[in-house]
Amino acid sequence: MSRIQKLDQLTASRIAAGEVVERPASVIRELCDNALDAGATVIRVALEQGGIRSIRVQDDGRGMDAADARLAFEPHATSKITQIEDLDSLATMGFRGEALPAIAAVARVTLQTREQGAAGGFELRLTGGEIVAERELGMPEGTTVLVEDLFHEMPARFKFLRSDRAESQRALDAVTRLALARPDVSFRFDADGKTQLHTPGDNRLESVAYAVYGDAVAKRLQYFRYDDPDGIVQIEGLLGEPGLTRRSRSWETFVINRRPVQVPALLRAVEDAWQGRLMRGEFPFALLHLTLPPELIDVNVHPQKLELRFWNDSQVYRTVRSAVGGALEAMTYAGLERAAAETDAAESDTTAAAGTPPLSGSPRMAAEHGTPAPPELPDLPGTRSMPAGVRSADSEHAPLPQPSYAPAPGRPVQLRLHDVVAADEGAPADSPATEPPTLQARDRLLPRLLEARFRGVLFDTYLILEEGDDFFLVDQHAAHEKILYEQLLAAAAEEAEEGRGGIWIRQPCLAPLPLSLTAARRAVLDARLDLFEALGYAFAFGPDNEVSLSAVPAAAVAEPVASLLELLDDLEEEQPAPDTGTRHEERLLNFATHACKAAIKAHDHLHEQEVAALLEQLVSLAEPFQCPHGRPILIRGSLAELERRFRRSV
Amino acid sequence: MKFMTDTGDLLEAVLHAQKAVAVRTSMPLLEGILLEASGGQVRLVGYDMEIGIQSVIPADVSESGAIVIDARMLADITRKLPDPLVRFETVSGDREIVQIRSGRAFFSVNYRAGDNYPVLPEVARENRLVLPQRELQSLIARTVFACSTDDSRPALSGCLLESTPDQAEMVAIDGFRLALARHHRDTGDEDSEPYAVRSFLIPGKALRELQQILGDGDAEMYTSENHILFELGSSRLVSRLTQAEFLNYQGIIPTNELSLITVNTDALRSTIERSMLLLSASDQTRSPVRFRTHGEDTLEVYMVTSRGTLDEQVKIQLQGEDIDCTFNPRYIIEALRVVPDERVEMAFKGGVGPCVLRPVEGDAFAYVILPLRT
Repeated sequence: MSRIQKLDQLTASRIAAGEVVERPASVIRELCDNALDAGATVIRVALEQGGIRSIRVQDDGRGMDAADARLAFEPHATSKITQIEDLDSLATMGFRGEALPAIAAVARVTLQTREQGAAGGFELRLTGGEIVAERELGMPEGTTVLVEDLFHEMPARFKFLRSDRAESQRALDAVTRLALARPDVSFRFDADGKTQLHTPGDNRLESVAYAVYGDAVAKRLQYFRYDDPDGIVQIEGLLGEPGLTRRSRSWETFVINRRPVQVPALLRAVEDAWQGRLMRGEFPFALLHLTLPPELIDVNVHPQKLELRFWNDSQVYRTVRSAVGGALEAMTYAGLERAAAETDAAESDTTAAAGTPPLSGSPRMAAEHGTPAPPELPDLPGTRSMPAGVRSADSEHAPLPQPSYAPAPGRPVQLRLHDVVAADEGAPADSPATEPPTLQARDRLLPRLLEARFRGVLFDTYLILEEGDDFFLVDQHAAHEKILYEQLLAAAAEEAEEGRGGIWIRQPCLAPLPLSLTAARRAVLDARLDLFEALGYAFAFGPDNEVSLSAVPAAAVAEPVASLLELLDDLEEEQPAPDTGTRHEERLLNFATHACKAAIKAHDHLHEQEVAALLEQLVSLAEPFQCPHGRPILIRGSLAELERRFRRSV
Repeated sequence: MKFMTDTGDLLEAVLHAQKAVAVRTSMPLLEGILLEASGGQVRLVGYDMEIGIQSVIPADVSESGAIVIDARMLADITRKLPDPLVRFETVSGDREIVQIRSGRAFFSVNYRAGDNYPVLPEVARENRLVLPQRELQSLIARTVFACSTDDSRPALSGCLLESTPDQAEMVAIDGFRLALARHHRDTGDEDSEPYAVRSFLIPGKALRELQQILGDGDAEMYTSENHILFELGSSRLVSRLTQAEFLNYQGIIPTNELSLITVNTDALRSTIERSMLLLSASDQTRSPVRFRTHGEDTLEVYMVTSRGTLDEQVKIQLQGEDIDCTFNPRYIIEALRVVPDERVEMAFKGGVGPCVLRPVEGDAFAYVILPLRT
């Protein structure tokens, strides 16, 4: 008997389904994709027992007629592409035409749909991928898919499901990502009858962030927008205040053409833009929407569509980094202006940020607010939009554009984009969207510091200044450190301009200095050799993994080996970044340690004249608010705040 | 414990012992100086577990004993004593009090019992080498500045002392420069005995302390497996020996130069000192000084820093190719400060090859540095 047999249709579908449908979350993602592609403005997802018992996805989209509904369960049936070339300009979410058949192969599925303008709806029931019942019914326009007993006939897959709660959390995460990607669509997510997420669908990123992360986080976010001059790439998003961080990357979300994606280059770009503002091991809040011509990206990499290949990682990196960097600079000043008034709120933020994951905070939020807002599904209770009290940094900003790119015939879009991005590199902070707040806040705050009266020193470390109804605390060590650091930067720039070599001059060794490196350090050295050579180190590699130093930066002659090992260890903990060899700032950051050593220490006593000189220099800095290690230099408080604390006022 | 002694003798001994007293230590006992009186003398000891210094002074001891007094206070008190004689006497009671009397001054100060003070390492009288203290001091002065202060590389943070019957050499290399000082035995002196053939690698830190307590007479050196002992008459210093291989330095000193300049030592030193006035604290290690010759009699010394520039012409004699190279100014100045000779020569091998600085006459000193590269 032949050992090789052709698989029957059901088995083949189930195997294919394994690729598409791993767990309830992936079913939900596929169904939501279909709903979005059908033009839904409201999507409701409801689970029972983590989705293993049942998943219901209901939308108000275009719906289907009976014939299309039947066809939808045939493999590779799709309305979205008809030939392979269409993939290049795809702006819809799903396209592989395998979602519904794959789901039907592993669960009992009920599809109810009513096409727009049709007199009534139509229902299909499927078991094991076969249609077992059909009927007409009355229902609102749109589509509802009910998936029951997922994987109940696939014990192997079933076994890999986690607890109901874990599956429910994954499903919520999946819906959250979609909601963050589509602020124009109202998402609601119920698990076992409890509403865990409900976004208003008012096409405002702030509203979605408010619904997802809660009030405490949302009010510390700042909207920004960046358009390249040719209108080809557009970035907008929300960035957290510098102090708003987590120990994981769960607050970094990227959306390209309204599709949630995971692109390592974007993570790096955002984190590098934060460089100097974060402590090690902390990650910022960033929700970025990028809009690009679809022909410049390739989504057909993985059925889950999470990863995405870019037309050029490094250009994306640079554009995003400079856009985010510019926005951050603007925010730092604005944030300082506001900080005093929000101290109490910040305290509760810290608890929320430290204690509870952002998503599990949402039910509480959902319970507290219940303002009804259109659009509505008939049987849904009210959704909430953002309360009036919540700050919007730029309330004038335009709603998200609909990505409706039509590739213009004969127009070499890709080449032009390249030019634009490259030209933009030089002046990241000049983006018109970010400039005004920068200047205003800075100009308001800094002169006040100079006017302020010096009132004394706390703990020989914090200078107390009083101006008007405000007081400032300045960390003397951090301030001096930042002054030295900027001087070092300026000196380096000047030296580079004059071709003097400056910081990077090398002192060759009389005899090679042998290094004994651990495997980890050696790996970092091999990976970043170009960086070390740019810094002024030169190495000789012998047999048996021997490495010795043959030259060191002139600034490092006092402790040549120790300084190198310190750098290696720093880099080991860091994420790999692109273009390392040419990144001037990165080298300088490594010399921030150097600045730190020369700086006034925390407990050095300063005379009044020294304090005045320190403040004058601080105020003239390009970025006077954070030290090279990302700690704040300056804290502002107010008389009103003190009066509140002493109960002199309410 | 009870003794009487000469205030001047005591002060010198205290100042010697104090050099080896620990600065930061978890053992409070090590912050003091041990005074041990017995049999007509007082032994004073400072020891930080790396280096130990002991001085012995004659005294009129009427009751033996050993106490430890805070080193800094003891030095300050001794310095201010009004009378050429001083008496120490411990008082029995609840607290450990020692009375110090000199003239009409009468101190009562706390002490700690000396019983638990660590014992200096024993070094058997073997592997002997004897050098005149003045010569040893000169060898140290001309080399120890070129030791590395980075303790992670012991071979580079010590000096190698090598002796043969008619000469002694000391060499230091910190990785970037080499300093070699040489002393020739005065073979014309009938009393001078040939030196033993020895080779010791001594920590730079010990040599810096030793340098300050060397005087006249001979220094006798003995080594055990781990320690070296310097006997200097009434004082002695014990240090660990550096357990590392010294670099094979012979190959590092270049020969066959392409250019040779001869210059007045003071003139060049003061020029470089002037150039270093432009260095700020953050410039110290990274603003190079540039040497460029013009014709056969002019060396232009040029320094640019963020504060300003210096351009100065120094009179020289040049043989061979023109020179244009840059150095860490600190490396040059440190060598020029220890050369006793009136004129020095600098031998170059192009703009990036090693440069040797040495006296015009004799081979008592050689100093090798590499130009900086950009």
